[in-house]
Amino acid sequence: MLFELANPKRFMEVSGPFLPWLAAATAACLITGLVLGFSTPPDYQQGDTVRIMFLHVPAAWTAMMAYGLMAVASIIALINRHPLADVAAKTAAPLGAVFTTLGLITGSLWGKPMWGAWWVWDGRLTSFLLLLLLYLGYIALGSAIEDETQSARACAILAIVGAVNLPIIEFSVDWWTTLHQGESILRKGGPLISPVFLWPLLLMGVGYTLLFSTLWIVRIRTEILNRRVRTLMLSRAA
Amino acid sequence: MNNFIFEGGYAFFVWTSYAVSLIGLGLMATFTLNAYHKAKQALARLEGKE
Repeated sequence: MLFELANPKRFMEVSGPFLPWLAAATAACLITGLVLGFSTPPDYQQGDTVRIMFLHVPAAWTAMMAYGLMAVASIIALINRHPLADVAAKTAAPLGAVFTTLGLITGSLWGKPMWGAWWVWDGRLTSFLLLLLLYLGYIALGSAIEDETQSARACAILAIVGAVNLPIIEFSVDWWTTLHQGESILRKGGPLISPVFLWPLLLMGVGYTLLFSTLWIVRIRTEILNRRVRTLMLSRAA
Repeated sequence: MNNFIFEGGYAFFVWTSYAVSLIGLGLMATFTLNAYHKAKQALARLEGKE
C-alpha cells in the first residue's frame, strides 16, 4: 500500500478525494474534545489548570509522532529511494516544529501555576527542547544545501540520528528525578486519569493527529505540484 | 459563567494556552493552504500556456 502510493501521480489521485473527509473528522474531534474538555469539573489537585492538559499532551504526542514518521520516511528515502519518502520527511518537519513549540509553551503555562516555575532543566523538558532544536536543525540543513539529492541525504541522516531522542523523551520521567509527572495513560495496569478527563484528552489527541495528517497530506501535494512547476519551467528554459 | 471566565483563578494560564494554540494551529493551517493554492495556480498557469 505504502509503496503503491509512493508514485506521486497515484498519491495525488488517492489523497485528493480523501482530504475533505479527513478535514471534517479533524473538526469533529477537536470541537467535541473542546466541548467535553470545558464540561469537566476542576481537578481536585490542579483545579482548572487541568484544561491545559487537553492542549499540552496532544501537542507533545503529535510532535513526537511527527518526528517518528519523519525518521521512518528518511530511512525509506535513504534505502529504497522512493520519490515520495524524501518529500514526506521534508514536509513533516515544519508541522512537527509547530506542535513541539506549542507543547513547550503550553507546558510552561501549566508548569508555572503547578510547579511555581516556567521552566526547569530536567530530563523531560530538556529532551523535549532538544526535539525542537532537531526540527529547526533539519529545516535549516534542508535549506542550506542547494543540491536536492545531497540535501535529502544529509537531512535523512540527521532525522535518523535524532530519532534516538524519542525514547529519551518517553522514558526520561522514569530514568531521572523530574518535576514532570510520570506516565499516566499508556501504562501497565491502565490509565491513572479519571475517565471524565481521559475522554476529552483522547478526542483532542485524535483531533491533533488528524490535523497533522490533513496538513501533512496538503504539504506533500504542494511539494509535488512545486516540483512539477520547476520541471516545466526548466524544460521551457532548455 | 463567571467560573468559566475566571477558571478558578487560573484564567491567565488557561486562556493564554488556548489562545496560543489557536493562533499557532490557525497560522500553520493558513500558511499550508495558501502555499497549496499558490502551487496549484502556478501549475495551472504553466500548463495553460502549453
